[in-house]
Amino acid sequence: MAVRAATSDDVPHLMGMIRELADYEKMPSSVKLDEATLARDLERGAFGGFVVVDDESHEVAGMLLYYLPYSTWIGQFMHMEDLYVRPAYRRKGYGKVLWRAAAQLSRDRGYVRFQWDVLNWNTPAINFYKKCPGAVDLTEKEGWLKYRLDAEGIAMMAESTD
Amino acid sequence: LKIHLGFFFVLTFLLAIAFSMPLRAATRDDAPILFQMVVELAAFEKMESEVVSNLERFTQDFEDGRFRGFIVIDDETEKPSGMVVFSYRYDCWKGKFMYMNELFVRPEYRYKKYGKLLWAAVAKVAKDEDACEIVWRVLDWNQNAIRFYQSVKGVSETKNDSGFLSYKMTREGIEQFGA
Repeated sequence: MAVRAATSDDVPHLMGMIRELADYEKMPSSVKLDEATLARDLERGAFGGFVVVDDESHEVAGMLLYYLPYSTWIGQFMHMEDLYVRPAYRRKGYGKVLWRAAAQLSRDRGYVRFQWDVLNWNTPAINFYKKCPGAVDLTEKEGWLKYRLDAEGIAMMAESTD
Repeated sequence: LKIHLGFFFVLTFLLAIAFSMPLRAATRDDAPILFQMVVELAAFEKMESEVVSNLERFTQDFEDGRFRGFIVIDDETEKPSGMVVFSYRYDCWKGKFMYMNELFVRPEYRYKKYGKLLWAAVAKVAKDEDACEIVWRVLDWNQNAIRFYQSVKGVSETKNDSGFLSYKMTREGIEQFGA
């Protein structure tokens, strides 16, 4: 299972997966970015990412995109923007591998918060996140569920071996 | 006499310019005063205990470019009277957007339009740096702030998240506000 930081060579795959995820979230017309902008923003560090390469087909099977918001109260922290595994590569543990990589980066940099959003009808994702010990369910009016790991949760996730 | 008068006029002119621009970009030396005002605002929001950062980390974060700010020096007292802190976030559908972390004018310096000055400075940066949006939060009981934000065109209020209202200013709003 090869997980690595996303580079500009991955941008076509990232763009494709961003669109696939937006389709799944029933908001396909919301994607305004193009590959050139995405590549430039990745290069400049406006966001970061991990990709996982499938061990059998050697194709890019999934991605995790994050950015680093700043809070004057707690300093820099991590926001997981997209976590997506292509349908053909599900049930191989790639989601967990991607998430663990992001948690390790957060732990190594001393972030005390790791947060993300998921739509309240996305049961497979919700079930996946429910398995994470220490994740707190923050409910939102629009139907988005916000999840968060504190410093302890990040460490647990980073050190998990299953 | 003529030469002395000329010099006096030039000097007065330069001083007038200096005092008519109370706003400036924050530098590393401003970190202590900025952080002090962060804490003052947190106290006003009744959330002082949530400030776990400290001046050392705040200063380091500033040096690392994690956030930027503007400071207003009051024209009468020449004391720091307000600040704005902003940073960048990312939306994978729309790109880079600006987050206005803090906007604060000390109580004794209110009603001198410093808030608008600070906010406009941030909007100008957003425009110059092509941010797709500016986003910020305000507590739902903070009537003064809510009134202030609603007084500007191009501001929309989005959702209520544990007592915080989320505000947004889109590209069109940024364009208009900075004009």
